[in-house]
Amino acid sequence: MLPDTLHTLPQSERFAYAKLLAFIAKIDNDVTVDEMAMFEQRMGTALLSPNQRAAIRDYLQNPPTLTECLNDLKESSDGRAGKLGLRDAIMMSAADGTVDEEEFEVLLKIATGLGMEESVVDDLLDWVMEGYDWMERGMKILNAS
Amino acid sequence: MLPDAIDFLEDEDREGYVRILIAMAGADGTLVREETAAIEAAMGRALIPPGKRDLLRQELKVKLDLEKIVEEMSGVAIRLALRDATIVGACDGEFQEEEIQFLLALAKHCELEEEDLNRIFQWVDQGWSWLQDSREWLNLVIENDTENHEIDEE
Repeated sequence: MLPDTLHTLPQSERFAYAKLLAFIAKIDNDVTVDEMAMFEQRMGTALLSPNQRAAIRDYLQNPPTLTECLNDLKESSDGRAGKLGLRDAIMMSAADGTVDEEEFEVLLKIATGLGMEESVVDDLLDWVMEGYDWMERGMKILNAS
Repeated sequence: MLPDAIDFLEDEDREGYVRILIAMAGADGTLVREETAAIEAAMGRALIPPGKRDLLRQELKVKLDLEKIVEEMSGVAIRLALRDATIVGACDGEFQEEEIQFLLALAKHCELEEEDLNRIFQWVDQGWSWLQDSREWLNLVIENDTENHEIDEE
């Protein structure tokens, strides 16, 4: 829910970003409630129109290919959509508590496909874990877990 | 964004939770794009059905009565709403007096003290830093990152 820079991207780039998340959600052919909640949250943060959201949800039934996703993201003017897409794809992969080997391989492909170092995936996985700790601290303050 | 206790709330609690965020966004009489994004994110995170989201968006145009909203809500749902309303309030970089009063009133409803609220402010600030870290690693830092990070409580 924290404000991000996502909503500042052009609409077509936000759509390409969400398309990548739909691809990630369907990697293992099974979308968990955790993944769906995060997917819907990120679509909300991206301020996609209801029609665009419907189109993106359709990708959960008919997933795009990774090549298609990367090509769309490469069309972005400064690469921001791809970077945020990779970051949030990593977060979504970890939503169910683990990142399996298949997911990890795909994340590496996304990073390199978008011209980034493979090591950024590990860095961002560490960052996601810090986010888990932060959320847990929030729950402790509220005593609501 | 990350696994959360919202997943365990009943439907009525989820709607109340979103209504509180909407009320918070309107507490100072203005609605910025970041607040809209936060509310849309919250509705998505709570898996509110698309039709219901349309109805809730209409409530952005009216003044909501906090007392009525919390009447039917569980204590856990109010506490989660307090936490996330604090994020909504921080979206435009500073807390207005009306927003602080709103949060204090909400805290009373879930039996939290001003001291707890201060801890939530600090927690939100830490979250800002956490999110900013990702943008730094990805070389995505924008000018107002630093401005947003400093949350002015007055």
